Amino acid sequence: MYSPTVRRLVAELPNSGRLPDAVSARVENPICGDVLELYLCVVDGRVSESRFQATGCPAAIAAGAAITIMIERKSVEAARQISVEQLLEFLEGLPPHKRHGAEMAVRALRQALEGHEP
Amino acid sequence: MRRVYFDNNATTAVDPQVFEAMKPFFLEDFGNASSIHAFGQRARAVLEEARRQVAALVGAQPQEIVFTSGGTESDNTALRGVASYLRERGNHIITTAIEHPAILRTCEQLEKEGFEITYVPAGKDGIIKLDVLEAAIKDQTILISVMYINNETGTIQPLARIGELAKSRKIIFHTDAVQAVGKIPLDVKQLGVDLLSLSSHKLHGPKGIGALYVRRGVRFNPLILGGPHERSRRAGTENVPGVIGLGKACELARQGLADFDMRVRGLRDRLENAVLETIPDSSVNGSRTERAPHVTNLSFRGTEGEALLISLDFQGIAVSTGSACSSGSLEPSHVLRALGISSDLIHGSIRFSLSRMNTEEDVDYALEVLPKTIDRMREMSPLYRER
Repeated sequence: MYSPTVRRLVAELPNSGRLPDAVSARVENPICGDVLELYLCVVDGRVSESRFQATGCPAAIAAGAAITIMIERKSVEAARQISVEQLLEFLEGLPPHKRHGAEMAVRALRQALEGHEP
Repeated sequence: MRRVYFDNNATTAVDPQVFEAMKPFFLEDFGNASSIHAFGQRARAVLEEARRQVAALVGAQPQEIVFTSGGTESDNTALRGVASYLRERGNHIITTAIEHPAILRTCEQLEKEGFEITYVPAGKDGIIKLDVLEAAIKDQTILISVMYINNETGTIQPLARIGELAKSRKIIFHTDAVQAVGKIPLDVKQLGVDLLSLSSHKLHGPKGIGALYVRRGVRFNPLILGGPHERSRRAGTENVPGVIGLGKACELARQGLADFDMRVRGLRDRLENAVLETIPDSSVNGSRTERAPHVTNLSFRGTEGEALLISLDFQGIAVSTGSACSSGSLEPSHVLRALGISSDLIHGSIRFSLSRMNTEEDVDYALEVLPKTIDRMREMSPLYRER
């Protein structure tokens, strides 16, 4: 059901944690109870560091981890452009009923970047 | 990396002796058991010997065993076969809220066909409420179906009492004993059941074969029609290698029942007790007393079962979960929900189901890996942080 990429991200949990003094966002999925938090630091218009925390299914966890990898050193504008489809491609796909994990991660990213000028 | 299989309620490894017993019946003794020539008669003879082996495990007579393709077919046959046969007598069936989907989906279909189904609830301990069952019986009740051991929690239902009740009211009584056969001593006469479903791949036999015990004198409309196989109770050329495998698996299970209870129960108890002692915010789901010797269903607050499952799998340990995320429909385990367990604990539930092939070293490894895995999941869990 889950791609090797998703399974590896869940097992290894890269970039899990919190960042003091970071911008953060929190999104929840009331249907299945998943919670995803994203923390990121922006320096000179670029994402310098990011972390995620998640309670939820492999889709939510993997998507949270993947987003932190995808935005590494990206400009705010480039990070803001990351779409659900791009995230799904990075994850090598998710089962249809798990797509909400990727949607949550992109929503968290956009919330965290609100207010940052490109 | 060590590989540990703790998902025996899903399926079991075929015992090497079972595999050896089956092998000749693919390439050499491949006859159709209905053929008159020597090839067929050889197949017939071994098939009937296997029938005796299955019957012996459950305390039945050989002629009371009907071979099927597995537990699901046996359940469908029992429910649909009896319901249609006794339709003119009544249209009410009593079952439970914690049955396997093979029973529940069949009951839902029967409801669409005009049958009335009562789903008896279970208590927090996972034992069904007998008073509710008894109160549900009415003149139109033609069938009671209650599983013997629950596949998710291992809870054992009081079948003998239900059997007495069914007999006193002249109601046909079926049990889905798929998770019980070969795990605990079982006698169909002592339980008072009229029909019993069992499945080979739950007791170290091959997949794709099972049986339905049908007490002598009980009639039903067959599900699978065609030739006169199985005394016209289940058509289709017999899966001789599968039947041989099932028979051998039953023979080995019967010989190993005492050891299973002592040794496997010991492994399960050690695993469970150590988890409860060393991992905070962990709990057992269902009764810890009225329970099969090999199952423990544990919840770990602040975690999610499917993510735990993948993390454990990466470290070589195979388990199962009742988390909503693991079902295709995002619905949590209907069994754990029926026990009144809270959503967050269902979310973080893991089922460990052991077998006679597990060892002390397997448990040692699990106890080394599990606490660290739970800790990692909780460290990154907002909900555990905020509990």
